[in-house]
Amino acid sequence: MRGWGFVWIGLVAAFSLLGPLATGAEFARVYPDYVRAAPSLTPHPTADEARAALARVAGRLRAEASEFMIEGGAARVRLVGRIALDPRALVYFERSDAFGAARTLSVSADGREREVVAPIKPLWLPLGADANGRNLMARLMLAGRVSLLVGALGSAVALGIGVAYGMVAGYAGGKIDLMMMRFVDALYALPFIFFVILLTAFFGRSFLLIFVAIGAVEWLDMARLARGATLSLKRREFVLAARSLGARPSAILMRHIAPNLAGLAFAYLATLAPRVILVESFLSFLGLGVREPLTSVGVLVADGARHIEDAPWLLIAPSLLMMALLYGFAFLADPSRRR
Amino acid sequence: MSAPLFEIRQLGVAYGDNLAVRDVSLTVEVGEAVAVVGESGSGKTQTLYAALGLLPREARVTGSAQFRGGELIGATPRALDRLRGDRIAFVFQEPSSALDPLTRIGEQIAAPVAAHGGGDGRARARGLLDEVGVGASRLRAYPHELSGGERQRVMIAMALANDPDLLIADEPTTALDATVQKRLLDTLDAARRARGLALILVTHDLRLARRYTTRAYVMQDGRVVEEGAKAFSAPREPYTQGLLEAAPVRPTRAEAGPPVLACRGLSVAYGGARAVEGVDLTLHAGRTLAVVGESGSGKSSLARALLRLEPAQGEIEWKGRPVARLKGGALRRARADAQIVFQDPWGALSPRLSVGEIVTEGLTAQGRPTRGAAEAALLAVGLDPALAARRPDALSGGQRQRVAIARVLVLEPAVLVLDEPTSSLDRAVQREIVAQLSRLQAERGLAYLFITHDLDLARAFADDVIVMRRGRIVERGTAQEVFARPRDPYVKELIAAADLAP
Repeated sequence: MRGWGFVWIGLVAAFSLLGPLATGAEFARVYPDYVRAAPSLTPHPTADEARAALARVAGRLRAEASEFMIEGGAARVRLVGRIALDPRALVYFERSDAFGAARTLSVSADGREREVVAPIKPLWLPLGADANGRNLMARLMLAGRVSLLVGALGSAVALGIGVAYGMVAGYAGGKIDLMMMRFVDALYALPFIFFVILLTAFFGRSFLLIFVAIGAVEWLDMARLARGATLSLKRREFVLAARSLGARPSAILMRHIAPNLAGLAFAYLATLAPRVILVESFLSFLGLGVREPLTSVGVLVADGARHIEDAPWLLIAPSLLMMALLYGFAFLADPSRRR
Repeated sequence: MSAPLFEIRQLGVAYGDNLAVRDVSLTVEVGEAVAVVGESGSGKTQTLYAALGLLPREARVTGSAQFRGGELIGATPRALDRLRGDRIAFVFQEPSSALDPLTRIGEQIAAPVAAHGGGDGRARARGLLDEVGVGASRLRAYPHELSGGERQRVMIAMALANDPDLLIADEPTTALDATVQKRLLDTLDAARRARGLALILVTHDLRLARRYTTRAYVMQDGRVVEEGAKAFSAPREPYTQGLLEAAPVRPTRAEAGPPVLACRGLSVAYGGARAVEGVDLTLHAGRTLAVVGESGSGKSSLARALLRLEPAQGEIEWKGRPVARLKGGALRRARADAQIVFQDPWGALSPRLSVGEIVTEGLTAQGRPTRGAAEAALLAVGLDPALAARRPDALSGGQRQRVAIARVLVLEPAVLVLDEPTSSLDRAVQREIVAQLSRLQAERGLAYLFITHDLDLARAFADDVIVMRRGRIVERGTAQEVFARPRDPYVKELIAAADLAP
């Protein structure tokens, strides 16, 4: 079962990391012409979109468009203005998302009529575009990268602190253990959001802060688990044997306790990483997490939910990505692994 | 002669290509007591589980097993369920895991009666509890309120609840102390005789089998190597002889050297409970002192306290140097003089280190050079130095225990505490380890504090003996004195239960 976890997470990672290289899609570019475009495998613009785009360009030029036709990847049109058309104004074609630089084929004597040909710029939006007209697939790839990074680094911070802290508390025992664990209890009592707002107030918003904030909160559980496991490990005979050989406590922790906590930490990682991803999307939803134009899976799902009626694909695609990610981690954490 | 009650013919069990049981045949007549004897892994439990359809699905079972002429191999689960717990009853090795911790024992005994259409079994449970010596007053007790011996008695009561024709007892007393073991088997034997019940006693202890059964099937490597009553009186196979023989008594006794381990007024307390109370002892170089006692007698706590692995009160000396108040680095350096070998070779070696790393751990800890030390130490305990690169899980139990001994020898300690070092090993391996320890003692003048519940081994291996009960020493003396003329009544009972006569 665990193998499937790696397969799923590997697929998400390949999509997010290799995807941008393979497609070259830009996540931050806004295409005003394609706001909430539906997913499709044929390139934009379609004939209708090209006509609409042309109408907008013609409007800018204060001209009427007629005899519109598409042939061989280029649009041909006759523009008729009330006054003479300034050829420099044809730059509006280029500024549109649909066309390249326009070329004049013929001009009437008074300059009011102009026959123009402009190449059509094909754009693939296989998952459609979001409410701002950005390529949803490119945004999903970015979101996958951000979420995986947050999941990996946030969990690593939490695991690192938690295992080290719990291990020391459990091995030291007695008063040191008592004090260290009461400190953990005190941190538990601190409301998480309050804590994060405090951090942002002090340090300002930054990408790094998310890791610190999540790591600083999520290590508490791991510390308790690691302490409990250490309490039973230190009674084990190989630890007693090491003590009796005269090994230092630090050597015992590093050689005997830490390697034997690795299995526990890995199993916990698989439950922690998806939780960190969810916490991050929650923070981002509140505006405390990643900032536009960066995004994460949680942000995309939240955005998609606002368009569930008019553009359901904006919800479906990010949700599927999140499912694949969480599903993968769920498999990794599967306790029924066999040796 | 009528048909046998239970008959296994040419039974085989295979897991993939691995043959666990090969061509085993055995018969049990009505009312007969038969033993199936063998060491762990010999296939004795597999054989009986296969005959009664209790093996996991991966096991391929061939051959035939018949109960009163009805075939059991390939019978439907429903048909087997009608027999099991009714006509054929089981008593398992581990009473603490075979009983449901959340159900009162009275109800657990009554359950098989109800399951096989015997109506309300509560009255029956009362009678059975009296019969097995737990007492009907404990009817409403939960399993955790009973001792290990009492729990096993409850298991026997459960097995007897439906008046079976055949009782299969799988190592019923292995988890119990010798004195408890004997009383329990006496109870089982009385109940069996009163009912004319047939018994299959599965055990690794041939001497135990001899006392309670009339014939034995001796198994080794999945085959029956010897069978019949002769296996008890005049065994033919060297394997069977090895099972029956007492441990060889060591011929030479070293002269006592200077004291290397001593304690005065040593006490260990856990919370309010006292595990060890006011123990004095002295161990001289080159000698072996056995500390004997049943589980809970405090002998392991004593061993750990002596090595400063357990907080304790009292004076402790290693090589004549007081160590009870040493701390930190001074204590760590002093530890090189007194080392310990644990009972469980699976738990005592860190699963994540290589054998070489494990063996040289003491040198690393003491800051001494490790070059070539692992190989030398492995050779000293009779292991191939090439094993240094392996991990402990690639080794057998005996090899692991040798590694554990090599690990402490690298520090050249004056005294070794051996905490039941052979009790989780098979008898043949046990002997090799003991012989190895004797050799090392002769070569290096080591002193051994030998913690054991095995009186046979203590008698063979020790110069002096201490018997502990409830944290106190109840008897002490030379091995010959204590075993030949015990003074304390508890020690007398212990020695009687161990059945030391060959």
